Amino acid sequence: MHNAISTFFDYFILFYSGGIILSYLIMIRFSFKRHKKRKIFHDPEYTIEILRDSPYTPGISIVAPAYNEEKTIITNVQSLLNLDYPDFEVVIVNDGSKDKTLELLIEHFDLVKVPYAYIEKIKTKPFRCVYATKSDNPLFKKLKVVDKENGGTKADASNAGINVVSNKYFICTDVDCVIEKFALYRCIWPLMQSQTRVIAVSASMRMLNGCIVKEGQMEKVLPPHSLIPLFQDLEYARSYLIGKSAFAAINGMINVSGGFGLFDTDVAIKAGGYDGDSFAEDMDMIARMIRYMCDSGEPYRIVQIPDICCWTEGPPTLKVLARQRMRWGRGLFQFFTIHRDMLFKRRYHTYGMISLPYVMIFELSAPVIELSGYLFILYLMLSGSLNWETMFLIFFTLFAFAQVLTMLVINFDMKFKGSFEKKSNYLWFILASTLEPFIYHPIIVYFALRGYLKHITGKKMVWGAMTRKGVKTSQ
Amino acid sequence: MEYYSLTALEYIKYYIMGIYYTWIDYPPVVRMCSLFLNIAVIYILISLLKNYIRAVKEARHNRKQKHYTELYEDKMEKVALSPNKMDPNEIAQAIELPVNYKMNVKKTSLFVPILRDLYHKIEDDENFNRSNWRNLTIALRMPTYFEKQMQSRVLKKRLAALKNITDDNTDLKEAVASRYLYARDEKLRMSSRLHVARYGTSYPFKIFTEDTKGYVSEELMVKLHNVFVYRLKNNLSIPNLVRWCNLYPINEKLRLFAVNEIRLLQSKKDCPELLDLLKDSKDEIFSLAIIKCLGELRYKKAEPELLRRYNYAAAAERGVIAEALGNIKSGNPEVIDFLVKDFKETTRAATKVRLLRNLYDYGAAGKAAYELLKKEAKEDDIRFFDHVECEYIDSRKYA
Repeated sequence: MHNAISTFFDYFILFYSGGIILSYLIMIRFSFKRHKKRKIFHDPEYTIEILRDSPYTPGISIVAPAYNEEKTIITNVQSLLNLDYPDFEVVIVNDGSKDKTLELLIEHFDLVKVPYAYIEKIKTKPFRCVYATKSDNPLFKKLKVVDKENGGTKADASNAGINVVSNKYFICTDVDCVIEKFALYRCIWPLMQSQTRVIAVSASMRMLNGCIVKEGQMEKVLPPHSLIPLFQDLEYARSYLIGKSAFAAINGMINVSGGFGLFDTDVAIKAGGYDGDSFAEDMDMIARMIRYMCDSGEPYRIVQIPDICCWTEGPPTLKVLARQRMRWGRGLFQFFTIHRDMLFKRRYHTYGMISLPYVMIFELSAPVIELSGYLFILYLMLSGSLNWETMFLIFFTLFAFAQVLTMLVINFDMKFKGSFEKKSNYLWFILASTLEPFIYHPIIVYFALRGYLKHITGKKMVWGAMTRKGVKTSQ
Repeated sequence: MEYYSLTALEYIKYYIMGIYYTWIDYPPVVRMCSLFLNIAVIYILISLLKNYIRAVKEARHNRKQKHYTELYEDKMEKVALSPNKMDPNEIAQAIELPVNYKMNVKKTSLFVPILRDLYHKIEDDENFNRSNWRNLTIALRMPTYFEKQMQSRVLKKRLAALKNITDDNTDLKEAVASRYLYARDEKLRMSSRLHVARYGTSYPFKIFTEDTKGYVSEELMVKLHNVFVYRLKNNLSIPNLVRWCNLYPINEKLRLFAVNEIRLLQSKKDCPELLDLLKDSKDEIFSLAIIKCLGELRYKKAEPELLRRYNYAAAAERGVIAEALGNIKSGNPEVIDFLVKDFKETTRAATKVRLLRNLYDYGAAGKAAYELLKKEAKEDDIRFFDHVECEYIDSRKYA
């Protein structure tokens, strides 16, 4: 019996980890090819120059829900209004804030209630009214504030914002994110280059913790100097520069982050917008948009750009990280419960045939398999049948593989003049990558498993407020 | 006793043998792991070294660039703004170029960003002396530099050269840029075509109409529009856009682009021909583009045709016709009746708002019809009237 279990486990783990490594190698190949091509053909300064005065540049709406953000709302909205793009509007959705968020907005931007002909294209919690400025300031004229009753989720507030956008494309973001000044040009360009209809553009995001911000604009990008955000920064870099780039290369993008992503308004509305009940609302909306396009037989593309367009504050403490990861874990489980019919369906092309099975096998099941691995090693140790030499060799091989991935990420990032001006700051990434398998990874696995458990037991879960520590601002 | 010292290669050899014999009795997976581990360590070390070298080189380049900018930028600006015509030798003396200065790829490339920034800074200055600018680029040997870059084997360098020539406004022989008009690589081909289209003297647009199978992306539209604007600004010819609509019906996007350009460049002289095209057109998208164009150019003679088309038009076309009629604002009472009728028939909120906006802006008669409509409006439609009347809402942008 012992031998049978042991043999089964040996081979299962061998093939599983072999599969992960192989998939990573394939992803590296795809992303490397894409990055190389982009490096040759893309000139960001030139793009900005020609789009700035062109009548062909499409308009973009920025939708940012706000709930109890009185401390930072004015600076954040000001920063959104100061973005560089010829035709954009900012839609702030006050999601029934209990503090002075709305009052501050009204006072600072000289807002008045307007009889906006609101059409509920996507169902939301009751809408109250729209505010627009009476000031002559051209910057303020770009602002619309939607006031609605609290829906308890970001999805519900975002949907209310989508209902009032007046442009063909919209960007969904968080009001406290810092958006790169030229981010809108960067997002719209791949869309204008494509021969196929682009329904969403995903741009890279990084951690705001540690950075220096001046008047709502990024002054200096620095790595987070505390462990949890540093780990998450590395995780984001790896995900955007390798994983998402590779999925975008095969047009099988799984997720466009809720923190910053550009969407085709028409398709998003027809797909039903964000699902207020979902814990992975961004992933869910992409699935529904793809479903809509495939069901109606229209070709589509979802693009990933490696440029950093947005910085968001990561969980500063373990408690906040736990909440975030449990929600993600639960969201992933919930996602597969809802969209399981898309799995292995040729109708959904690479998304249904490659991306979804990949996520199910190597992301959804990974925490469970890892846990069983830990338990099996413990059992071998207790029964005295563990070959220590082999175990250490395999461990160090996987550890080295993780380091190789980090080096690749650093190489890609440096190629795009990415995160850090001072190259020595990349050493923080190497530090994080060295510690990650011992500290961060087991914690993440644990939180994901707890998320799954909560979903299975049907335990009620609330979104909870994301505790922010704030960022450094330069004088 | 004789000592034998090992060479580096022998060390590597013994190291590999050591690993091989350590894991010889183990399963293949374990042996593969040991091999991978070694490769990974080597890769990591090489990457670290490479990144370090890259960082050092970049820092050195930045220092040099800064030094050159400090040394030459002001002097170059003075030359470019000087009212006196100077030849390349005089300019070389004025900006204190080294006596033995000659084209060197590394050194000359440092002038590229300086020239680009300077050109953007003084391009619209009334004292800008174009002749001096041309001679300045000659003094710096920029044409030779770009010619060399254009001949490079590296695709990126060729593309960058084409772009930089435009940025720095360097005079380059048309023949040099024309070399890649039919290049296999699409990006290079398009860059070259756009460059020739921008600066070409004879009829540089032929290439776009010849290539009927070429895809016209929005990117190309943006760039071509940019070229047209530049040429109009510098009194250079632009193509006959109506001919583009007529001669090449195969390339759908090119036709649409031509109609849009007529609208954007406000080329009213093309309206009669566009109207004829509209009468003959059976292509819905093409017709919509023409209707929009005629409306924005306020071509009054198009009104009877638009009213005639309305009766059998599809829903999408009706909205565009209504908007075009609203834009033309001829004062024709028939148009007002038509706008009112369309408002009553449509169910789309966006179309309703657009129609009301047009009525509201359609002079006294239009406003009277608007008020009448408001009195008769259903309770659910009142919000559209309030929306249009509110001065703080831009109802033209309602979707």
